[in-house]
This record gives sequence, C-alpha cells and structure tokens, in this order.
Amino acid sequence: MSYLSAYPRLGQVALLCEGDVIGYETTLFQKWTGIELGNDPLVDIWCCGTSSCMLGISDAIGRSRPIFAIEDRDFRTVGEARDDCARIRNDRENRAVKIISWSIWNRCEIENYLLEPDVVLPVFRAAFGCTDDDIINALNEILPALALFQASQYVINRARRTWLLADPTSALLSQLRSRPEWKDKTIVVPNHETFRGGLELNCAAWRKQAQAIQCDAVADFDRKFDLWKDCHWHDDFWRSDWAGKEILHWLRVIMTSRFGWPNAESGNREALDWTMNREKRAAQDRPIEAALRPRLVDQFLSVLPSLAAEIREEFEKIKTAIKGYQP
Amino acid sequence: MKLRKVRIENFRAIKGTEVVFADALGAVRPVTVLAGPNGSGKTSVLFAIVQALRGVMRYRVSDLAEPDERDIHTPLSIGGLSPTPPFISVTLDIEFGEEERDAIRKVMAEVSPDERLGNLPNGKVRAVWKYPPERHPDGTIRPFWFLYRTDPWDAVPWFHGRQSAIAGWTSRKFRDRALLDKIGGIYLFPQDRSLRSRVMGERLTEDEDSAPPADRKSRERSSVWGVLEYLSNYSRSAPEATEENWEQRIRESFNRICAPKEYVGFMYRTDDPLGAPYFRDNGSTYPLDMAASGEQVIIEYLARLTHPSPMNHSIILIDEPEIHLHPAWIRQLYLALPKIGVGNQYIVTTHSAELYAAAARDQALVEMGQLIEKA
Repeated sequence: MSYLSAYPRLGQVALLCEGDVIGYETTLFQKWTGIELGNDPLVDIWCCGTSSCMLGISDAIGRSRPIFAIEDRDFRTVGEARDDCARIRNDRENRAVKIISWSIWNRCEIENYLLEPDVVLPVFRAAFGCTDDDIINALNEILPALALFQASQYVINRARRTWLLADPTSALLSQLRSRPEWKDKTIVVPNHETFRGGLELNCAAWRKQAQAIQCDAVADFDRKFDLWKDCHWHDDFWRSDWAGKEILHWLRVIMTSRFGWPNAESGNREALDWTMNREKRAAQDRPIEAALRPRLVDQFLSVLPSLAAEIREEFEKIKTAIKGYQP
Repeated sequence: MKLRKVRIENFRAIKGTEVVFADALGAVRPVTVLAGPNGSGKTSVLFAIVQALRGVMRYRVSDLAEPDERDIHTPLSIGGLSPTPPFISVTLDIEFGEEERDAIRKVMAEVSPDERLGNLPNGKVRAVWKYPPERHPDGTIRPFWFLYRTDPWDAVPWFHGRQSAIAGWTSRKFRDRALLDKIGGIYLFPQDRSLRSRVMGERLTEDEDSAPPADRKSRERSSVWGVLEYLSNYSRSAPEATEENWEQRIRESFNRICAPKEYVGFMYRTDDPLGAPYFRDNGSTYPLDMAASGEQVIIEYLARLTHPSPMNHSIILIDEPEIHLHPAWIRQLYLALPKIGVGNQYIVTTHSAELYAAAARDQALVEMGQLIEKA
C-alpha cells in the first residue's frame, strides 16, 4: 500500500511519451486527456525525453500505476515498431510492471500530425498574415531540399536495428552533411553526389573493421532518396514517413525570413536572418517554436473530429484502452 | 475589452513592475497565469487593475476596500525621509474590439445620448490611474476612482459601456440582447476569505441574524444561491430560448470541471419546498450548503460569470483559484476557462504546481520572481 501511495502524482494512469516538459506531446496529451477523459480516469503525462528513458521510468513507476506508453515510430515500419513494442511490454510485465499498452504513433513523430493542412495552414496563416499559397510554396521549397536529410536519417535508423553494439551515426555520417543550410535567404541543399560518395567510403571503412555487419546503407539511401527527391505538398508520404520536427523547423525559418517576426522590444515585425551556425539557429528558433506550439496543438485538437479516419481512430484507440483498462 | 499591458508603481508589494498579457505574436492570451512566491505582488497586480478601473467602469466590488495610504509602497529610507512623497501609478493599455465598439456606440446612443464617445483609433486606450488623487486648484480633491489621464483624452465614456448596457437592458431602453453580450466588463474573484457569505448570502437562522429582513432578502438574492435560483426560474420561463438556458450552461461547465460530481440544478423537494441548488455524487444528492467548498468555489465562478448578464469580452481576475480545489479540478478549470463566455481574458494568480505547469506549456505563464533569488 505504501508503495502505491508513494507514486508522486495524482493520476490513476501514467501516460509515457517522448519529448520534453513543454513539448508537443505533453501539451497535446494534457489537453486531450482533460477533454476526452476528464477525471475518469485522471491521467498523468510523463514526458521522458527519449524512448530509451521511457523504459527506465516505466520500471520506476510502473508497479504503482498502470502505464500507457507511446513511442515515436521514427523510420521503422509499423510492423517492426509493433514487434519492438510487444517485446518491451513482455519484458516489463515479466517484472510486474503494469502495462495498459506499449504502442507507437502510426506516423514518424507527433509533429507529423500537425502538418495536416487543416492544422498547419490556419496557424501559419494567422501567425504570419500570409496566404495558404505562401505556406504551400514554402513547403514546396523545403520538401525536396529535405529529401537527402530524411534519407540519411532513414539509413541511420535502419543501421540502428542491425548494429546492436555501436551507434552507427558517427561511423556512417562521419564528416558528412545531410541537413540543408540557409544562405542568401534561401534553402541550400547539400550536394547529393558528395554525400553519397562519402557514405560509400564510410561504409567501406566500417566494413573492414566489422566484417560481421551487413552494411546496406548505400543501397538503402539510394532507394529512399530516389523515392523522395521530388517530394511535393500534394504527396502524402512525407506527412507520415518523414521526421516532422525538421519540416516544421524549416517552415518557421522560411516564414520568419519572408514575413518577419515581432521584435520582442518594439513589437514591430522584422524579417529574421538565419545565416548562422546550428546552435545559434536553434536558439533563435526556440521562442518562435514556443509561441507557435500551443497554437498548433489547440488547432489540432479543435479539428481532430474532422480529420482523416486513420488519425481519429488512433486517438480513439488510446482513449478506449485507457478507459477500458482492468487490472 | 482586453488588457494588453499594465505598468504598476508603488502599489502594495510592488515597487515597479510591468506585466504583458500578450504572446510573442502580439495576441492577448485568453488566460494568463501569474506565479511567484508569497509577497511577490501577484495579488497586488489584480488589485491594481481593479482599483484603476473600478470607478471608470462603475464596477461595484465589495471584496476590495477602497485604496488608502497603506496601499502606497513605501521604500525603506534613512529616517523614512524621501524628497518626493510616493504615489501609486497604474498604467493600462486596453483594447476594445471592433464588434464591441459598435455595440457600445449603439447602446450609448440609446441609453446616454448626451454622453459623447470620442474617437478611438484601432480601439486602443492608454489609461493612467494615480493615488492619492489629484488636488484641484480650489483645494478640493478628486474622488479616488477618477482616471488621472487617458490617451486619447476623451476615451472615458467607452469604459461605461457595460454598466450602461445592463442599465439600458433592465430599463428596456433597448431590446437587442446581443448588444449586451458583446460588451465587456471586469470582475474580481478574490481569495477565498468569505466564501460562505458570498455563496450562501450568510443564510443564518432568524435568531442568529440581526439584519433587518429587507437587507437579509437583498443579501440572499445577490448570493450564489440567489443567483442560481434566479437563473433556474429564468430558464424555466423561457424554455424556447435554449441559448439562454443559463442553468443548463452552468450545469455543463460544472460537470466538465468537477466530474464525476454533477450540478443538478435548483430543485424543489417535498422535504424542501423552498428549494435549493442541488448536486449529485455517487447516487446521492445534496444541497449547496452541504456541498464541499471546492464545489462551492466552482459554482460561484460559473454563477458570477453568468449573472446579471453573461460576461463576454471581459477581464476576469481570479486570485489563487486552487484554494479548496483538488489539483485535478484545477487542471480542468484551466482547460474550461477559455470556453466560459466568449472572448474573455482571464488573469489568474497561483501557487499551484498544476496550474503553473499547464500555463508554462501554453506560454501563458508570467513568473513574478523565484522563491530564492539568484545572487
């Protein structure tokens, strides 16, 4: 009994997700559970930063409260991710951790759901005083420019599934740049040939040291890049299969450089310059993301009942599982 | 109306501070939460806003005494001497929406045709209130509630909109109810030091109550109990006007915040022919005077924001709502506030970790100092 009472929050259910304390998931889930479940049961949102931290926190609290965990799918297939979840659930339950569900977003990350036209367009339109076409045009610049980066992230995620003994990032992407840059008010894509050549060299070097690892990174990269390089607003795959966080970041970069952002002192809108290193760019982006985040989340929740059935069903499943949980 | 910014000097705990109620994109937030340690001036911010606006908005507030010398923040100085006597100064940047301005124009034309509404470009007004009030050249002193200055200079009549609308509606000078709903006011929910008297109207027994019967009746009518009775009767007499079924609206909001507890409505029972507001929980029903203090707090918010007319486009100030409330209800209250009324601006002070976190996630938190200040 004392163990149960020692749980440091109020809720009857702990919902574990990735992200930070003011991240998209925490903000969205806190509001969504409040609206959909009210106090019955009262759900606490635990933002764990990363999926690996979700394991530790579930061990720490999972014998006092039932847990609903939801991970990013990242670049895994739905089938792969579900297999991973089943294994994790099994592991926890063998140690008496109470699990309602250990699941994944069907899309790559939570941010991907905010890229739905009914969410991203009204929020950015209101924030930047522009038209839908301005936003769509910006995305049509961003999407092909991000294809190489997204393909590189896909490769890393694939490698992580087979390279169990080491993080493949430093080996595969050593000295390589896959992220676009911002120069002269435009998005500059890294050279495809340079990246691919470097990837091939890195793969070969790594293969010498670890013969046992089957390295298909170059083939994986080629396949995805060919598929994704002409990505456009009207395509569907990027909303579910790409890292949505990066798309939203670049959308903020383009929109604030073209339509400006209110100066904190004067309140006047000024076009922002993003020609700076990654750390400085992240620092400049932070307050902008913070201001837009609640608007995106509120807009998502307000249009959720009219979004595509697959999205509604995803949320409905979470609600049903939590409400129907019987220990 | 919306309050975009307030600058306060020498008021109670505050030497000087500026609080901005707009987000990074310049939009005034529907809810702003002021957090900080005891004595950081959270409540003083609410009181300063009320003291500055109570006169010009003709807002009768019994929960806040008129300002006096003790409200002036006096800095420590050698021997208590200061070259200039300090005075309180509150500067408010206020905006009236376009629809609200139209409604005020129409109402004032009907109710106070002699009162001239000045030009209000973009609906923006800067109002300054000072205390002690100015002394006229003839030695007389202005009432404390006079605004020291407005910019534009002739903006004062715009602040009379809501009270004029209520007076005009009550005396049937105009019939378009929608006008009333578009004009904002101000309302303060103080900390809970007199909950019983506000909710119950001090329903003492005849033996306990020394007040004359007429005063007693008026006190009861203005209590939450009286308001709920009035709204219930009003809803019954106008069942066709479903959007005006205030009792139903209060019920829905209460049930959303306080589930699984429910507000049933003002009911009459064979053992209670005078009737009472009833609540239900787990199969049992109980009247307002038996309700938990948390239930009384929530029902008071809902009743006061509905009567004498629903508060929309208004500035609602709530001082530490967490007193008496389970943290789960605080979470629900935070989510429900923007949905109570239309276009209201809520300014809430708190020590609640739940409210603090919820507001931080929404970029709606104003931190007024840390418990331990950094060196």
